[in-house]
Amino acid sequence: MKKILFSILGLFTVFLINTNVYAAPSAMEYLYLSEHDYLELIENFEVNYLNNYLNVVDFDWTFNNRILVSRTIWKNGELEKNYHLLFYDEITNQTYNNGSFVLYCKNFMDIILDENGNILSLFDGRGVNTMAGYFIFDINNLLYENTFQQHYSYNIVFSNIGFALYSDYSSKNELVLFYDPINNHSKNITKDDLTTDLDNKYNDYVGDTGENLSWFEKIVNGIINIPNTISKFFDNLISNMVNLFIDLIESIGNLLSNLGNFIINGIKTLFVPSDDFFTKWFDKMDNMMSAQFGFLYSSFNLIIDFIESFYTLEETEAIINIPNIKEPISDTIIINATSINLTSIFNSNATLSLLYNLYTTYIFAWVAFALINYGRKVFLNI
Amino acid sequence: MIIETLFNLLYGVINTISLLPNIPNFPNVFITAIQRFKNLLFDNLQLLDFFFPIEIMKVAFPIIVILVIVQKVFKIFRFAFFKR
Repeated sequence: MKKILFSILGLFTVFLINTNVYAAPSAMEYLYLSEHDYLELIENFEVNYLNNYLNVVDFDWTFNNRILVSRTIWKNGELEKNYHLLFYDEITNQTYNNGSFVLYCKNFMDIILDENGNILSLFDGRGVNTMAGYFIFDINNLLYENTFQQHYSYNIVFSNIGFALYSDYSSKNELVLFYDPINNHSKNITKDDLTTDLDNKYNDYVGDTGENLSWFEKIVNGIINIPNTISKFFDNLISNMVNLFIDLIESIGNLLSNLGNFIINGIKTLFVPSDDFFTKWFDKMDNMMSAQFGFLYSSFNLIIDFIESFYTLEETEAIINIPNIKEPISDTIIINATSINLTSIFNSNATLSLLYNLYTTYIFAWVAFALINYGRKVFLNI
Repeated sequence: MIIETLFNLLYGVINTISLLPNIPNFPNVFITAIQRFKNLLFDNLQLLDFFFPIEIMKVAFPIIVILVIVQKVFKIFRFAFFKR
């Protein structure tokens, strides 16, 4: 039992180490990122490079969340190894497309489509037909046609890839970009450096799909793939164990969090009254006192009412309203109703305004000295 | 819960005075007259504000009240403790 436990622990440790190790990029080398690494990076990664080789405008791309890969199928239905790359920025809703670019990744999937654009199978570059780990959304509304080719666009969140971009065969362009999303490092290499490799990969693909292999080669390939199959089994096993462990920790965390919230809410309910409790309590008390003490309580209310009215007074313009002045017998108006706005009169005239300011200053000073004097008298009196 | 219970208990204690006979309130006519007088007074204070700023009165009024109360309270205490 101990041996089994130690074996599992060892495998788990190896897995953890492997998740953080990937090959350093070079001209002909591709990245091997773990799914976890890539899913984190794909959320918001940037590719910035200056195109000095192609006859297109220089570009500086920032991608958000999505890459669209448009696959090319020639009209005769023959499968070609060309992928047109569309970079789709989900936030700005912009698509960056350069038709001469081709996506090729050693550890990336190849997609086989039927005439309607449905996925027949996926090829991950290592000879394994699988959809595991890939998230594919069919967005056929981006399908378009021209006289040469059909483009089926798919919105793909990649996993476990590093990728290289290079120019189309027919365009004879020279630029190849190798991009390391972790170190944000890109490297340009020429097409000649990759052509051979590309052809080899294409042959690998054809070989792995079994189209051009003899029965003996199929058996040999099957035997060769046994270690990969075993390795994948353990990868999946360990991955599932790690996920189980993470779920367990999350569950415990949620349980503690819920317990804490329950305790806090209980304490709140115990000590903090409801929102309108005090309003209702004071209303109830007011009614009771008013009914019990009658005019004694009302007197206080009247005084409080006076004080409240006094303190809610606001400064307004001083306006004297003079009503119509009529002759009493025939009701003939002698002087029409009018309003005299003392504030505007005093403000519009500079002299009056000055005098008014002096007057208010005098009033302020008088009140202040009167209060001081009264305070002095009170002090002497006691 | 606890605070609400305490306040409700306090209300229950105070409410025991309802066992005593009620004191009658002012007649409604009297209260209405007082209210009308108050409205008449405060609705026409803008002219007074022009000559005697209300803001000054708002500051001076509590000071005067405090001085008067201090004087009275001091006399009460002096009488209570020193009989003078």
